[in-house]
Amino acid sequence: MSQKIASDSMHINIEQLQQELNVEQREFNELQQRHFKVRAKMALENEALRKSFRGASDFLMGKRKAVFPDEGALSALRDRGEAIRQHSLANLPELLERLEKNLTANGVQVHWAETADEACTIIHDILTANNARTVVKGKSMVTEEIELNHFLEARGIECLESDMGEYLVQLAGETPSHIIMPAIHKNKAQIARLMHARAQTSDGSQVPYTEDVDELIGNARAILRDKFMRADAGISGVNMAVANTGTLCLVENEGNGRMTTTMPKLHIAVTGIEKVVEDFSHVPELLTLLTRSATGQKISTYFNMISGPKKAGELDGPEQVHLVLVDNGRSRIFSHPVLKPTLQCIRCGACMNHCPVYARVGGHAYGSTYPGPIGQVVTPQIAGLEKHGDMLSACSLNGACGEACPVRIPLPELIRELRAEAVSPQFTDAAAVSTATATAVQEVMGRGAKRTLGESLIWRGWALTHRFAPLYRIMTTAMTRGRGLFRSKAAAALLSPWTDSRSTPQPARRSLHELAKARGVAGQYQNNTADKRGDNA
Amino acid sequence: MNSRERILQRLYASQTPAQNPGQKPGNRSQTTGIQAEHAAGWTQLAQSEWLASFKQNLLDNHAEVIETTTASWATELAQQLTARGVKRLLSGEHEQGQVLLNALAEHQAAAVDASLLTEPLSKEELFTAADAGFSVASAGLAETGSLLVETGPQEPRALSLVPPLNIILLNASAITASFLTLVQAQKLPAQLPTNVLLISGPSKTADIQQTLAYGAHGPKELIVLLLTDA
Repeated sequence: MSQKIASDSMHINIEQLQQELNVEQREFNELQQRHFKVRAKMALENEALRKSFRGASDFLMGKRKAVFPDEGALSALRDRGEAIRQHSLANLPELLERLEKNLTANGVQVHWAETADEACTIIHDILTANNARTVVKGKSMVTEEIELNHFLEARGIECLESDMGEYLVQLAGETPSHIIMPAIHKNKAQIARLMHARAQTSDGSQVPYTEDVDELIGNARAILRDKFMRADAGISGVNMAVANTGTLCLVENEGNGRMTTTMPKLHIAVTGIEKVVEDFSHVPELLTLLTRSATGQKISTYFNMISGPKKAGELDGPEQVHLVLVDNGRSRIFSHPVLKPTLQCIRCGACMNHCPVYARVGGHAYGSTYPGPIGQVVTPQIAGLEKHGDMLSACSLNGACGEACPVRIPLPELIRELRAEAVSPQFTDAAAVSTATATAVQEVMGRGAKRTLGESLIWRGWALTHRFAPLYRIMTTAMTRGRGLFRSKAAAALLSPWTDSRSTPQPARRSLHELAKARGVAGQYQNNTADKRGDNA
Repeated sequence: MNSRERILQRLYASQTPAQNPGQKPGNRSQTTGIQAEHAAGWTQLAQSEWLASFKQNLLDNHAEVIETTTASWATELAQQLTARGVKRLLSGEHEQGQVLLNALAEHQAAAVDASLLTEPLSKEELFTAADAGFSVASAGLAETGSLLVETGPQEPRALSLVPPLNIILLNASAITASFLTLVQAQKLPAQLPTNVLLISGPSKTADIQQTLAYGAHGPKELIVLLLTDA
């Protein structure tokens, strides 16, 4: 409907376009409040969206493949990435203390935040202490995670995203749908409408309608450069923080990260506590793994290494640099023996590019800051299984994410572990509690949230059936003899969640055991002790 | 107890060794097997191949590489700037900047208003008037076509960022295999300058429908002057 109006650039009614975008934004917000399954279904029905994600996934997978031509070299490099990240985690508390010491010596002020709210408060306090009213932001997933923009805007501070994708997403009133390419869900025509209807140049005029990518970027460039020139403060993320030198490293192509960390008088960097590495010698390999896995680039246009505010005699650079170290559930993940590798992540996005589910439902369906496989692992652990446990079902355990991960996070295993956590009893019995305290393991937030009496009874029955042969025989006989029932209306209603998009399961007329017996192979499995117990009884 | 102490306490309480303790990541003075292999792979190549790789990577990333010499680079650049209609060029206060200024004067390129920055420049002037920035790189990386720029009092950060045309001077002898070999050879200063950069092309983005566009926020063009005799 709206597409038609947009493509006919001569007859765009700006008010009408703005109204349409308002409606779209409202629909987006409403959808984000709905259940995961509703969002996934809506996403699957949206042809344009599926096309965007399919195209982007194929593009990024192809680029990654081309830049890693040698399987053996890739494997060796992934071993290095894994070793470096595991070494960082094994020494995490010491490294954080060393990082703090060296950053402080370099003139950077370090802050620690246990929760999202505390992180936002710290940042707000730094801004108000410096009378900062306007903020430009470099790309930072952790500030999305702690919902910093809302926090600051509610307190009257203008917070402008400057990464092109993030800028467009903010203009639309949406959230990023990919951690590397935030506006991956929008096509050129949609972005053209958005810029025309909502972007304003520095003199307050409307941006002309264009679908030309160079012109679109040129228009955004002009608007954002004006903001970089005037902003009171810059807020950025961090890709790696080097403990031994007290250095914050930022990876980017656009230059907005450099603008954010160079032009305003005040720079606030925000990072999760897991992003620290021990030595500068660990940086080059992680950098090469990051850019190659993320976008198939040998290196990004800029690799920005910041070791302090401007010194005496320097003509530019921020007068103050702050680092906010955010925990927000990470120390809990750190304590979990199986889930700890979650923190190895370097946020390249390769797992989502390779995920067949992500490629079909897209990032927004997950309803979380981090989508795709790593999002399925991170989000329930940060925000709880009650709220985000459902996204764990959006995985076929095909293993593609684990194979793509540059630091060898066993993502499928972690998803399986979290599925188990979601239906496990909470640490209430004394044994579990004492083991947990002895090793300081903290249970996953919302453990057992998806546990239901019905389902646990069904699984108990299942286990029982497989332990006792007579019961097993009764069940298989019932299934095969009563197979006609599967075609009944009652069964159809019961099975509809499965059969709505799949064919109805149809038990065979005879079970495998019966067929085997009929062929005279029965004797072979009587040697099996488990079967002997039942069959010979 | 404050947040810092509580976070650290939780981390210390549940600290466990690395899962693959056999794989040590090493440090600046130790080289692991794969790193040695990486370095050896490059050492086998002739200097000309390093140069070729360096240039090709920059070209692939939409930069322009001009091979020139110590004696003639400034004159060549002065001609380029005039031909491109550059009006305002900024440089840090260093020897090479002075050489360029002299060449511009000799070339009678009066149209190019060039100056060495000795004081902070107003942001308005930087963003609106300056159309070229001149920087000197301290190293080049063959594997990725990257330029190492160490900023400081003589090398302001904004010169390679804000003006639409970015010009970087590099001695060919300063080209090393890769970032890894650069770090391993301890070629970075032990006390790092406040801002060190690897620059590998003009600013770019592919955020709109994976379509590549140059000049996202920073320079639209990058010219690398490679001094083959230095």
